[in-house]
Amino acid sequence: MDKTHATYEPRIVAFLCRWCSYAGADLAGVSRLTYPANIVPIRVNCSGRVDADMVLSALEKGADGVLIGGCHPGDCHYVTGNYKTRRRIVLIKQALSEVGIDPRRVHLEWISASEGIKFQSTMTSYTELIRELGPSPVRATKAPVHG
Amino acid sequence: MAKAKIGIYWAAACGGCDCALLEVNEQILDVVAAADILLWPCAADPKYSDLRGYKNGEIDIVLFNGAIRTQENRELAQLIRTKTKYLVAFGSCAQSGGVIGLANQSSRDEIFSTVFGDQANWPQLSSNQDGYDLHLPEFLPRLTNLAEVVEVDYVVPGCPPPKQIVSALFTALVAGDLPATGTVFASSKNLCEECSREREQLKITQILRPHAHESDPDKCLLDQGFMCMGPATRGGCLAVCPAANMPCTGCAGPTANIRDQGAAMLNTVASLIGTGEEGEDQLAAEDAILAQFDDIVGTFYRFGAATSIFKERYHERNATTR
Amino acid sequence: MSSPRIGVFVCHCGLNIERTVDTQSVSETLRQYSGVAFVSDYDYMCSDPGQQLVSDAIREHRLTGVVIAACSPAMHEPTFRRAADDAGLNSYLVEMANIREHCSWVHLDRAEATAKAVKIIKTMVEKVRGNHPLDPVRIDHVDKCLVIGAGITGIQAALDVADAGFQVLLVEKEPSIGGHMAQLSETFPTLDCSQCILTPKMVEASRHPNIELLTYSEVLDVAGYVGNYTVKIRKNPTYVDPDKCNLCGDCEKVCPQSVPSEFERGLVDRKAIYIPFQQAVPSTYTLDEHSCLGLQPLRCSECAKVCAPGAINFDMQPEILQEEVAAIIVTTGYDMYPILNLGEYGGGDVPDVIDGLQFERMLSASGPTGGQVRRPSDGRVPKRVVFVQCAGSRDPENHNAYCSKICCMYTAKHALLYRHAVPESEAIIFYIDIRAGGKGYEEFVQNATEHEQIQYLRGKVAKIYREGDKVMLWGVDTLSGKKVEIEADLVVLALSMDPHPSTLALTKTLKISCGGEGFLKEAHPKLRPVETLTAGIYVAGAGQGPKDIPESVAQGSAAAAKTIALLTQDKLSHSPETVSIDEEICGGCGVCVGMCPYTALSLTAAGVAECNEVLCEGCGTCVSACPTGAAQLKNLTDFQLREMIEVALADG
Repeated sequence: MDKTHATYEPRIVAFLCRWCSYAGADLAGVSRLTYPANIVPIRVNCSGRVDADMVLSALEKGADGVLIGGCHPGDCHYVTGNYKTRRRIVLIKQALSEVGIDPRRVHLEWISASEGIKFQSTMTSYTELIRELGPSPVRATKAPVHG
Repeated sequence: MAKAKIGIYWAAACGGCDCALLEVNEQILDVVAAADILLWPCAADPKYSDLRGYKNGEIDIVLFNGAIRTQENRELAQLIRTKTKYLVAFGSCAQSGGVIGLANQSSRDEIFSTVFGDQANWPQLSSNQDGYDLHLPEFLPRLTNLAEVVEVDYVVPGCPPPKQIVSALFTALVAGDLPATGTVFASSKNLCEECSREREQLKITQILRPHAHESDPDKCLLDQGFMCMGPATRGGCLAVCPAANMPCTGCAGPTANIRDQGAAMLNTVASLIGTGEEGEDQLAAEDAILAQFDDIVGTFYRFGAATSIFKERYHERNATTR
Repeated sequence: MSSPRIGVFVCHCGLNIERTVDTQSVSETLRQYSGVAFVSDYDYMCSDPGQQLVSDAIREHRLTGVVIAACSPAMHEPTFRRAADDAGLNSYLVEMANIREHCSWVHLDRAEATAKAVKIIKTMVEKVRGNHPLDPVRIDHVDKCLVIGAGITGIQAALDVADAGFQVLLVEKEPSIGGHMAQLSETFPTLDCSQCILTPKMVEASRHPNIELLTYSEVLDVAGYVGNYTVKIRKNPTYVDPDKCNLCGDCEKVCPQSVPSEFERGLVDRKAIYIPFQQAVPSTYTLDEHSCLGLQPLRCSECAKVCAPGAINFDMQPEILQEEVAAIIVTTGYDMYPILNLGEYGGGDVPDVIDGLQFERMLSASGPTGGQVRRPSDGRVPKRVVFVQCAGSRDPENHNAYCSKICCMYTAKHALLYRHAVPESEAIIFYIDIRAGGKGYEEFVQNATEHEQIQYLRGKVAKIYREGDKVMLWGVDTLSGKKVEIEADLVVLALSMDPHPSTLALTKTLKISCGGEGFLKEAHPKLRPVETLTAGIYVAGAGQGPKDIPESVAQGSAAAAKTIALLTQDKLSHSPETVSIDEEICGGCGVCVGMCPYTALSLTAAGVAECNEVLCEGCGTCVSACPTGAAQLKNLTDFQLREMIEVALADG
């Protein structure tokens, strides 16, 4: 680990669908399942609401990782929203890869309302992964040429 | 009423925007009648000193085309900003970096190797030719649009801006009736509104490229599998490209609520991919369609890469890890 | 617009939050935050004094928005929204910041948890800053409901709704209502005669002034939304005028066409013109056009010739009815798992291997054998009957994975009734284990084993085949570990319960979901067992999952109660957090239209998208797909989300 890694705390934003993953996070809480505090959750109604602009905005604003939590295939509260997001995430990852960003900085996970333990393990392992990957290269974007 | 003073400037540009100014035909005479053109490097031969000689804010409006690629582009943009009341980002490069924004995916050395070949032929910042000291402006590490360097008042989109849009700008200018700053001289709606192609229930079952496949001239190009950027692109050009069987490439940039045109189009396309049925049994077929893309940034960010997260190349070790 | 004055209320939740989140420090930080006009912290914000604190602050500080930093919105969002509403602040300007479930309960380090709590609260301050006051969408509704399927569940639901004074349209695909319960002989554990308890309800349903009965009818199409569904129903022609038919049966005698009787499960034949069973409701004959020799009078028309009242009308046409209903109760029921799938048990091949419903018909006094147990092959009374439980159930490799729930009980009943009907007989039951949960159920099975000399053999039957005039069973007695080989006169398979084959197509028509096994899917398996995710559509009975009569009836009543609760409302209310379309931006590309699972979006004649806020459930899938940003979710716009993302990632 180099110097930047030593003092580095991953910044992760998680978009959680209200009915499954957000509720899964609630269950993790009720069950007092601890995980790292690096992830700030943002609730959306459906993972189908999560779009490329949100994910890329987060990376541009300094996220080292972006996590999207949705209902399992077939269980979407709004029937099919999660399938659409799945396809978006495939393309986003491919685009990141094209410009030399590790696509694992964006991660989609199906976490149901009953999967408090899966929520915990996902948050833990994802934080660890992002810690290993180090700070996002987008954070170190060449200084704007303004002024 | 005193004649208005206008300027036209090109930075990193192909020259197409300057030509586009003349597409208005005789209307240019109205412009000349109503205004003095103080600056137009493409047509006249002004010197830096002329420009520096103007009082701050003396010029009423400058139409600035081209992106900021070199130190000179940047300095001139800054200088022009002080001399003009209103600054117009004219054309895609000034607006969003344009096609040449994709050059940010390569380093300066890679670009120079491609353009000049052997390093011995690369231009030097300072050199002496026949006893004259020559100085070239620095090639900036990253190309940007105009707004990243200075404040911009109006945007005239397009690559190049179509004549009806240029004409609208000139009409406002001649009448001395410019709209509120921030205005984009184009339709507030997307291109689909102007496109006469038939749209059914949109879905994308294959990805086709216009050079390799013939398209049905009556049906929505996106529906056929051609990556037409029309849905995520401002209208105003009267959809001339789709009318000529060419998918929209997105030169006019996004509509007002959209921050990132490429992301918006990526969302739309990903949402439409598949047979129209959703389900676990469809995932493999969807993945097969998704795998048909081989240049997402070049497809969805052809004109907007320089103003997006794809404004430069990053170098993560495992960037190809899935 | 005047600058925002947002109030932030930080709850300690006793020590639940306070233990790991420094609420004082959080409050101090938020006090400095742009747009925040008031910050307070309190032990229990949800308590009466806590809510009072919020209400008072809203009035005193003229707050334009409120963030309650406490528990999950799933817990107390309604509590605080109501409190704000009472204090004169629109409830949609109130948001919860979840610093308990998502923070204090899951982190141990106080500094880290405190920093994260600040970020969570700031994201919600940003959301509230962009929120607009909204009013719930109010919807007028019609005063009628549709019940699809008139088995015991549908009948019960229809009667309950009708008794509450509302109109009911009861649609049944078969010529008679009553469903499978009409086929049963006696019902466990009390051994009441099934028809004796069912037929009064059938008659009541047919005579109830508030129930309109549509038999031999199918739901073709459903459009609209809760309170205002438009349904299209096809009433198939019976070719018999029920008002003229006097049930003399002369037509049946002369009809030359015989087909296996559905009601008697193929044990006997019926004619092409028939009445399914004597107590059928409506009490009339039906001419089955699929088995009739031909509806052209010249080809046969024997029935019409003998029909004295002239009830037969070959020119009858299907009728398409259109009805407006406020709610729909789906009670499509079950069917037996196909016996042909059980080749290893001689299903469909060995005539003396029958299913449980066929056995019910044999036991029924009104059945084809007049209540006597007889072998289909030769009509002899079997002296040894073997019952095989879990035939097609609990077998994930080959058949259905689930337990069909009722078979343990009805098999015990079958064996007991058989033992009573045939003296000197032997009843053997193969079982995996006995599931007799239910009032009086365990006692019933105990009685069967102890006092009725029914032999329970624990184990699975491997193979059933015919040998001479006997049926041979090979299996293993898993208690003794020995192989068993039994010679039986008759074998009764307790076949698995399948969802009725019509279920899948109907769910597509109704846009509700099926679970993996094909049963109707409820909104929540525990807390919303008869609701679906589509407002105003309810499910009940065996179509939702295997269940017995009392449970089916209870669900029917539950679905009726939900329906009545809906119908008694003056106007229906719907969340206003729906999609809005900016017509200045929308170019009418139509991408959104195909995204909506609720068909809330359409293109207007003017070529812009339009959202029906009554249908919109607010998922935002169309917003993500909209390429122009014209579609936005109210109170969670792209702009709001970007601000939330920014503060979630900002320093400190």
